[in-house]
Amino acid sequence: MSALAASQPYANRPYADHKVEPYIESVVRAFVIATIFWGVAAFAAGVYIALQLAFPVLNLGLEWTTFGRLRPLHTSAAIFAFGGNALLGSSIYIVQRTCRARLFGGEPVGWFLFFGYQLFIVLAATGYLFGITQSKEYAEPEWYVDLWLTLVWVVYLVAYTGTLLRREEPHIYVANWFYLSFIITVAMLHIVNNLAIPVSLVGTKSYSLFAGVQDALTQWWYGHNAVGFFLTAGFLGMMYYFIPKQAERPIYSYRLSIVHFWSLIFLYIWAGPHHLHYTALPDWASTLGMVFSVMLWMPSWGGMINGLMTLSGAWDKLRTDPALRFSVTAVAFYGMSTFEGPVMSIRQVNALSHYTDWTIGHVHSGALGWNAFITFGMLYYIVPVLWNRQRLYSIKLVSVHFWVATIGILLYITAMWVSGIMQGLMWRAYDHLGFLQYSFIETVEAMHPFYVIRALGGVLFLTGALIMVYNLWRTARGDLRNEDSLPTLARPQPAV
Amino acid sequence: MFIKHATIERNTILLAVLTLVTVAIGGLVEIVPLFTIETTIERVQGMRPYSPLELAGRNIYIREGCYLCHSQQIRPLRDEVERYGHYSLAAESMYDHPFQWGSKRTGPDLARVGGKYSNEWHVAHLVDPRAVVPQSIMPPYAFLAQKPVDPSDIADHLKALRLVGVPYSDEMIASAKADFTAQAEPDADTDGVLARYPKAALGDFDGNPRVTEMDALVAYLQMLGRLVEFDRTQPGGLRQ
Amino acid sequence: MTTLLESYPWLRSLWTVWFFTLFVGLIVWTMWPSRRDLWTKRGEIPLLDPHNPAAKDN
Repeated sequence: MSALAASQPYANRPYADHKVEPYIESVVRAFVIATIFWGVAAFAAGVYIALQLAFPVLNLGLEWTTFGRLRPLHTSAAIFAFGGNALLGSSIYIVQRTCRARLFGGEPVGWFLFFGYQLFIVLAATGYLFGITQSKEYAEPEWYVDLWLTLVWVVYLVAYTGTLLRREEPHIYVANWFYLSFIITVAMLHIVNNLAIPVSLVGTKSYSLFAGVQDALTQWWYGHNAVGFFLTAGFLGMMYYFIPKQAERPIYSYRLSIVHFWSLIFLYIWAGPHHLHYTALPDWASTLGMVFSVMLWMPSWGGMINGLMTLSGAWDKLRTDPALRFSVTAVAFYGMSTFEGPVMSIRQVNALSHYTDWTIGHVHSGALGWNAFITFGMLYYIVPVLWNRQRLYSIKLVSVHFWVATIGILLYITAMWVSGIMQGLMWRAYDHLGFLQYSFIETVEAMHPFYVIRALGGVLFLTGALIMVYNLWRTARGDLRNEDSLPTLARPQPAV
Repeated sequence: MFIKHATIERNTILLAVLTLVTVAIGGLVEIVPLFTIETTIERVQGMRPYSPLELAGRNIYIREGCYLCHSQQIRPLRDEVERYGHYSLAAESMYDHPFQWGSKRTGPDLARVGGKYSNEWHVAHLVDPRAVVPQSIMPPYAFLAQKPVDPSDIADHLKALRLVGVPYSDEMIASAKADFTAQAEPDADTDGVLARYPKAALGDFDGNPRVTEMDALVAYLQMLGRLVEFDRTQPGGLRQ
Repeated sequence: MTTLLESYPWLRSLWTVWFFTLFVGLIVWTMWPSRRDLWTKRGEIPLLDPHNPAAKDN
């Protein structure tokens, strides 16, 4: 610490002399619990619908349990409930600490955000089970839920910028840039894509303002940027704070992080139309989407290099700190998905990959490998801090979680690569007489083994998450597992 | 102190504004030109709004999340055109609020499924997919045949759609409820329905005398992709 | 909407200029050698907060 202190201009500034109000952490703790709860729910729903595709009898013949109704439940639980709670919680934690300021609006605003957001999730989820959906992927909730989310989101934006405005630290740390762009862009996307006319103010049904081609482009402009700003920019904010904290060294290049930020938000917003290659969308639009998607590869890898190189000189920590291993592996998966994505956005590749499981595999290498892993790394770091514990209950269980989850992801994405590419090739196969070689149902039948393997991967990932729940629960309780044989991982004590 | 505070505020707002401008411009440049409909939508004959029964069926299609496994967008690739028919036109979804192109084919594309199978096949297949196609992994939808559809607010749906730009006439709205019932009634006078909604599939699809969700869904499936008159379309009409 | 449509050609030429200038400007500003030390310091912000003032053990 002393060697670091010499290079830190602020290090000797006594925090106690500043009249810093205590940070709001009760709300962050609530968000952490919600993240864990919804994470397990999302993974369990995913395993169940994966099994439905392998064994259709699991649809149970009931209206509320068909794949068509449970699939939005799974995606929303994963993205908005698990990811969203992780983002809201971590952003409130980070913005207070990097600004050395209390959350704007204090506890009341914090608790409004927490309960308001959980209400949004519950309204959306129950709606799906009863078939209340707009049918826009990742924007399924109907108009009344959308209005509620808009209100919560505006409060979030005000609380966040308010905290930035009252900061004690002169500079806004880059993690906050990513979070701010996530909040602003998601607001814009959400409002535009959900413009609709309700049939009646007492009914749930509404009709989208847009139709056909325009609706498709608006939806995928939304859909892809939900990936870009919800699942990428927001989680990059997490990366830029927690990896330096876990590695106990500053980010590899702060300058690179600024270039990363601007180039990412400049390019990402254009990429959406690559979801609509060869459709009725005019070619110029999908070509534009493709060009920007390919360019996006550069800032993405710039960010990956920045995250990974932060570890330079401290690679040994990966051996001793499995929580950091989660964060770093997440960045590696980020690099892999952001390479795969541009490749799939190329028109000729997309002709094969679109409509197949390859897309599903790609999404999951991002969602499980990047989003979930960086969240797990964050949770393992933040829970001992928030519950004021010396360290995690068990470091060994973190390691077990890591390996079980990693094997789960690898099974998942390899199964989907094989089934996706195989399905794409079977659809376009011709026999020697020049007829289509396979009927559609033959391609469905061929998918079965891979659907089973995929479900197995999901089971492993869910198992890992349950191990984490146990570990974090014991940590919060204040238990310490006797792990003397392992290198000590006590949190560094404050220098002051 | 005052000046310093002002700088800080400006930085935050500047960051927010620059971010918003940067992300807004991409969307504007891509989406806005598509609203110049003359160049985006092909000039073809035959497109019409959905009949009240088809609309109810379409809403059931949406409610059950059919779009999660079935696309409605045939790409201009040799194998797709041979498997499913003429590639999909922008004009064919011009009245679709929202669009149902889908993004995944766990099951086959449905853009031109209309008229390919009999009504009886559709009902049997929806009730128990594996009774008709043993290897199918589709969920069973037997409950649709048990649930009657209430047409009392169907005119409101047409009105809402008119607000967002679907050309439903006053006459269509006035006769919405009658058209809804007549389309699923074997002995009804269906001249009005056919005049307003040419090529609408008629009949009691599921054998249940009440108009059920099954009737509505099958009426929708049976018209999919059949509206455009390709033989009356000039080659130039397909240009975007 | 009509205003947007009318200004579309103008917007289209504007975005290229806007995009390029702003982006190059940002890169130059960020990478300017005299700012290197400043950025290095700013990268250390997360590490300046070793503890929570609210926590009881401080």
